[in-house]
Amino acid sequence: MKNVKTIGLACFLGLGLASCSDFLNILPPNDIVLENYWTGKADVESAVIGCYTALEKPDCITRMALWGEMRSDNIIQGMSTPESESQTLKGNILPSSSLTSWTCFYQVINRCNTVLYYAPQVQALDPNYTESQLKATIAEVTAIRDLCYFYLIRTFRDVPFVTKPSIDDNQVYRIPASSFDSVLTCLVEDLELVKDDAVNRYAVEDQNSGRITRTSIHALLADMYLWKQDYSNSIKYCDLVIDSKKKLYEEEKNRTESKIKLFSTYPLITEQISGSYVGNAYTEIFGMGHSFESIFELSFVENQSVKNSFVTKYYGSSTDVGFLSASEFLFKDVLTNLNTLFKKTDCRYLETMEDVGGMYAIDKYCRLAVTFNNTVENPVGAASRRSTEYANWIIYRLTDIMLMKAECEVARAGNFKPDSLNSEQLQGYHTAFSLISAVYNRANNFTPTTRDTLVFANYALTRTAMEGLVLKERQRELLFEGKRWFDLVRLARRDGNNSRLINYSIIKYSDNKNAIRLKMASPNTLYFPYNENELKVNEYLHQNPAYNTETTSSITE
Amino acid sequence: MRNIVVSCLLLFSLMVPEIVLAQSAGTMLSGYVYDEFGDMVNVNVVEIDASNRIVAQTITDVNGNFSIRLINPKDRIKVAMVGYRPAFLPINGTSYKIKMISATNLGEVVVTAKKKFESGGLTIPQREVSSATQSIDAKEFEGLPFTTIDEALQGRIAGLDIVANSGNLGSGTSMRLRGVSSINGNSEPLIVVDGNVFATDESNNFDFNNANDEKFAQLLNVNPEDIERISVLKDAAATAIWGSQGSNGVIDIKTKRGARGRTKVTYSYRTTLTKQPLGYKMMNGDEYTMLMKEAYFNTALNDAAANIREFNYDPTYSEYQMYNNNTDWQKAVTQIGEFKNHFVSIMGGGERAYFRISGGYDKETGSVIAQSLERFSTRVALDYFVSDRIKFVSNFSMTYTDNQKNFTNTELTKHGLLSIAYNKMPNLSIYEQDANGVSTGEYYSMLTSASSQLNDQRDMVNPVALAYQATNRERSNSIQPEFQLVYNLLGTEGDETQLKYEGKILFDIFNKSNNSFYPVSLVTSGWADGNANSSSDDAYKKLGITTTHTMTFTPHFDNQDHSLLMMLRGQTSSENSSSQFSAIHGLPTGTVTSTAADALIHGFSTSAGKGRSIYFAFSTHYAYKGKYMADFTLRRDGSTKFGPQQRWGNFPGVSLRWNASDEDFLKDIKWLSMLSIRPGWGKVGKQPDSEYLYFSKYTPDDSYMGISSIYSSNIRLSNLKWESKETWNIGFDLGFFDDKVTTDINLYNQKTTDLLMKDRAIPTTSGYSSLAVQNMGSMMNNGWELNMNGNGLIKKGKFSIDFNLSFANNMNKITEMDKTVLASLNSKFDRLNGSYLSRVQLNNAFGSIFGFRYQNVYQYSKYSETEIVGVSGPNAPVVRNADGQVVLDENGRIKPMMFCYGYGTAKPYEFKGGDAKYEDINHDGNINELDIVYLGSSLPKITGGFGFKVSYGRLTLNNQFNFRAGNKIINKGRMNAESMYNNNNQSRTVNWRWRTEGDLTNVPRALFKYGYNWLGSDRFVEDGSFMRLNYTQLSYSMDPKLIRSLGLSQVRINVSANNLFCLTNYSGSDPEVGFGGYGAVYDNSQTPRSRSITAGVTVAF
Repeated sequence: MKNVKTIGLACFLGLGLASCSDFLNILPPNDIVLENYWTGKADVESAVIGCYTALEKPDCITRMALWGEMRSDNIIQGMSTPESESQTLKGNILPSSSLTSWTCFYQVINRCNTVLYYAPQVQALDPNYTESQLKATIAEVTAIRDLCYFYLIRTFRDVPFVTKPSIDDNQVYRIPASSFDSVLTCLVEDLELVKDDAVNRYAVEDQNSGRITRTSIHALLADMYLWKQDYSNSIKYCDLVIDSKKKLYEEEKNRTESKIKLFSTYPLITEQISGSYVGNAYTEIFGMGHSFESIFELSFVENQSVKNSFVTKYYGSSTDVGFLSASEFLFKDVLTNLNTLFKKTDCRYLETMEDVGGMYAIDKYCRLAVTFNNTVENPVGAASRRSTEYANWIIYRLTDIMLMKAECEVARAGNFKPDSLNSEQLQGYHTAFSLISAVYNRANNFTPTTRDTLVFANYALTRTAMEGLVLKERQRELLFEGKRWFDLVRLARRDGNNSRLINYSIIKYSDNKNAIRLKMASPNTLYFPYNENELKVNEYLHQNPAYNTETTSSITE
Repeated sequence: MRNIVVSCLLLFSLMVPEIVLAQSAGTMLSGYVYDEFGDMVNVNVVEIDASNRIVAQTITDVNGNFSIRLINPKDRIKVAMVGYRPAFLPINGTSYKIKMISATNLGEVVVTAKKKFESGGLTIPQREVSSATQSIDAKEFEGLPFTTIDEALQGRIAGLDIVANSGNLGSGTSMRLRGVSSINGNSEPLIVVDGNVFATDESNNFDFNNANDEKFAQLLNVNPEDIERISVLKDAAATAIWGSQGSNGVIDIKTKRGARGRTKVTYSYRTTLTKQPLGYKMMNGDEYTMLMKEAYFNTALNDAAANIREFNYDPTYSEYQMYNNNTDWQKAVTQIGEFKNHFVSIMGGGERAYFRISGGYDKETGSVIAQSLERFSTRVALDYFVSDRIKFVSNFSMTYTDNQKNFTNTELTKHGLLSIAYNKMPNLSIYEQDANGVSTGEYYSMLTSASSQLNDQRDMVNPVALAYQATNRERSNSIQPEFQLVYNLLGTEGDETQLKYEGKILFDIFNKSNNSFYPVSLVTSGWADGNANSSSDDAYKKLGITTTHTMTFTPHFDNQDHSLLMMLRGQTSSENSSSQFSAIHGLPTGTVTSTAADALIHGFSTSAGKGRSIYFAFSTHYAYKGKYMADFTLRRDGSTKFGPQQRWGNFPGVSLRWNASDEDFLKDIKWLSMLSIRPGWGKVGKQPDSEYLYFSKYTPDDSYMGISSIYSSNIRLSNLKWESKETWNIGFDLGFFDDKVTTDINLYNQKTTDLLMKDRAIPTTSGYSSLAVQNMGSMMNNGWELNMNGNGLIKKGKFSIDFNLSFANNMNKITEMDKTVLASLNSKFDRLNGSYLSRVQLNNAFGSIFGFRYQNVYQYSKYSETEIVGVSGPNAPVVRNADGQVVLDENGRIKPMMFCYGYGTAKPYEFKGGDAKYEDINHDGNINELDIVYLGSSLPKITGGFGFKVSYGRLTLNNQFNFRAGNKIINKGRMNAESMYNNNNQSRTVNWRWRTEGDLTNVPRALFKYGYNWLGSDRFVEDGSFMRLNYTQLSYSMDPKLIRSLGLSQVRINVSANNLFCLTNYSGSDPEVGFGGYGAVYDNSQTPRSRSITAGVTVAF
């Protein structure tokens, strides 16, 4: 009998184990898990910052710069250029190229989607996280996400549009691409909804250009409307941005002995340092960063663990050309008085390039400060180089917006014949010209001895000339900032053909010109191919037809 | 006189039964003990209870009398003396007279015992085992110089393919039972020691495909001398009891325990000498410099390019003496290794307890210089019988290993000393020499001022200096105490119904530390380098606790035809581990190597791990008349590696056996002692290697503008399921001539579904590039195994022969897989030299090799229909159509052979005389991906081994061979030694290279970093079949009669040789290279297995 009891006891012990399913519930000792996250305001703040961190990964900056510029006439091969870059510079873009990988942007997008998904839940839990703070978070994160999509569609045209965070393995991840127009429309609608919720000014001064503000959303919208060819709306948002800077100038001008001056009616940082020494605008905008003119830039403040390695690797120095170098005509033609783009009066060519044994190193961002004496015939910039990789990366700044507005005004005014000029059109051209002049004058009119100003009559004859002027000024002002190729693509889209784009960008090629011309004729070639690894795992994605010619390897047995 | 008195008392007590019944607690009992010689003094007299526990005790006095106070009248009195048979008396009086009978005067005793088989579950007679298993007695390996038991198993178990990872000390082996059934998870079988799972992987995120040779070496913690028996469980019906752990098969090791009898002390000593087999013959300095000058010239076609002062033998060059040598680097880094092993064991046991204590000490030095390994291991096994019902068991084992390895922690040193020795330029000297060429004894490193073309050689560390100046020491300590209680709840005798409870707790304590130091003298770029005087420290510790409860029920049937066994078991285990790592560089002096010293810290990390598992298992065995057997096993596993929905897995196994030979109609066939058929089915599962996959984790990222950030770093795997493997097995057992020859044959079919695939690529539009693990597709393994043993097959007087033989074959193929997975697994042709394509294709086996077909070398650059000696000839790089006709273009010109023409705008390569000729499969005049063909499979068609043992009296000769056949290996070692593409030294074969127009050879010309002379082609794909004499041993036991006078019971002397020869066509130094995953097998010419000779002696007291 006693034995039976013992058996019973043993069975009980056995069953006791069975009920211990809790035994298997353990949390990872080294990680924070979802179950313990998203409980308070601080969690949201950290996750929002995570979106910026992802955006300033070297992969992202490299692509922002290269997608936006490397196929243009500005850039040619430098020293020890990696294979992918080198092939692309030769006009040979392959789906196997690492440059066609968009992973880093979708990582940002996913981080943003995650915040957008969980932030409202936090608001319900944490009373310290107010409704308006939640709205500001949504506006900020939406803007970052939409900026990423904006880069993607300008590069690939049609891309998969994901708005849900990837959390679980049972979600659907293979989705087809959405068209350029539908994505752009979504982005604009998104931003219109949240634009007024964003933070207007942050308490920390640098964050006003380092993080998304109401003004940066306006800038983004202005750019998007410009691509939508909705010029009135674009102008509306350009004005909002310009006005906010004007207002800021009014506030600031009495407080400090400001380097900011009005060029026509636009407040810009002057180049003048003192007397005949110039270079101030470069130093403030690119050297120090977070300048008055900045609208949104990625911050790499000193002592931060993340560094802007893109600039250091790809751009050059006084002794070394980086992976990339500037096209000859940008620098050499100034010295030989060909004046293809720059004139000798322009500080910008001196600030952003230099001759390194016959090649032209790109110096923008790499120099901490530039000073040069403008009274001498061929001034040489005395530059102090950055020792470490702390250059900020500018996405939008005031002159960019001003020139966007100029582009809109010209496009909106439309074509005209000199004799049948109505006042509205003329007004548009004048506005455009005054904007361009302001930007041009800032860089050219720094000393009385050498002075150059644009003359309205030289350009106001045809639309093409005006458009050409806008493009040229954009090229001069925004050189090596990841803008030029996108400007040309926008031009081609407006033209409905690639001929002007080809004429502009073919300059840099020395051989194979005809083949490249032919290759670039198709509108599809304006965009990058999808990466082959992406196609392997997503059967709903169809390769851009311009790149579909490569034979797939088949294996015989 | 006194006898009469006692007899009278006894008689009286018998006559008065009332008094007998009146016996009660406290009554004094007395008695007299004698034997045929009279009174017995100091005899133990005890009162024992129903479960044989001692409750009272006394001894007899000088007259042989005793008295004892009774505790319980239901008990018994036991009288015992060494050398006599114990006497048991029921308590039925107060006085006793006991005659003891000597135990030595026994008549003949016949003991009949059935051979039993036990693994993880029930103990059943060997003749009734219905699943696919195979066992080996460790006696067969006695005296052989194995450091781990897996080496001894090579070629012995049908279907178990064992490959030594490398010849480095403590590098262990890699094993595959019945082929690879997993796509990229762990494929190593489970190792079980005395019923406890032996952890082979120490970290959760261990990648088995890219494992280096150090990882599987933990079997080192079991000393082969302690092993009694090894059983291998092959099919799912057998491994179901091990559930998900046993999905790759189980190797069950049983260690020796004490036994009742005289205490026996055994001491053995072995010493071994090992030597590296010769690899490729490499060029000497003179041949090398000539080759290099040619290679530089051929590429640039100008003399200036080949004008490199290190190759010029120019006495005015300041370093002239350092570059004018003929150094044999291989010889410089190899030596004769030594292995010494001492082993002592003491075993014995009495009525109450059995014990066995053993201790071993090994010291080993490698056949590559500056490697040494020391190991101390001990094992204590104690069985204490508290009573017939209760047994207490305690096991304790400890192993301490101190392995001083070569430094391999940096990129330049990771392939080891031998690899450097193969590549290093032979005209360079080991030691610095003075102006007269006399060595100064200082290690020479190339100067930073050396020609920049030789930068790769400069960065290649002087291997001799590396061996002696850098350190890399790994120490590990493993302690496993185990406590066990066995309680028979019902009957204790064989003819009673039994119910046994067994409770067990095991502690597994493992500590490991790694220290390494790399001196500044080995760094060419000086102090700025992060490796200069760098030191790293790595520590890992683990504590695992496992508790197991088992109930075994054996009912007794009156009808002896039936027998039934049942078992129910529950186990929980938990494991906590932590590790830390720190690394510093720039230590001011090499005399201090501690990471605690003041220097620049460049790495610091800690991590913790935690895992738990739980399972329940039920197993039953039924036999009718010992002829018809049925087994059923069910295991339910719970794991923390899955989310709550998928946490539990059920794994059943069913098997049957019919012993046909016991049927009446076969009983008369005298020569057939066993014929049985064993069908079986089972399903086992597999867990992923990592924990916490079902959590969505948040990881801190870099800060932005001074604010810290966090992000979600993975996609949680809520859908992850157990990989499941279903096995059908049909086995046959054959025994002939009273089981003198036994054979077992198994045919099997395994289907693995929901294959766990790591790093499954997903569209990166999700924000992630892959899922950590996903269930993907299914796979099939078919095969057969044959195992044959002959014991005393031929026996004539003192002469006898035993033999064993095993064969196995396995075929695997992917039967189902998502096409996007296949696409992402399969690489594309990268147009680079030396790369082969690996492809996973539906209904194809793993390990297929794809590449070009090599057709020797173009004899001439210029084509002419008939040969013009030294100028042109038909064997030139021109396009030919399918009929071999030269193809002309529209202008009537011959078309040159191109490489990957039309790829981008890069300049295409035109083949020249002396270039490698690849078959233009599609005759398009362009060697590209369309010319790649299937070249063979890395998987062997057949594996196995055989051995025989010849005895003559006390002299035994034991030989064991193992073999693999039909597999292809990509000989990357040879490829690197014949590519003539960089500054590395080359094998002497390239002396036959093409040098001038018209040379007819199969070795292409030398081209420095140019051309396509070593594309992945069948030139380097070789047949990896081999047959190796694994060991041969001669042993002699001395005549016991002779040594008895010395107080010895056994003296055994043996001499053996390992790896004496290997028959193979393979040109590398060792055809035994690791298993590939789904890719091909590459031979990177790792340290080959060495050859060794051992002498040993075993003495028992």
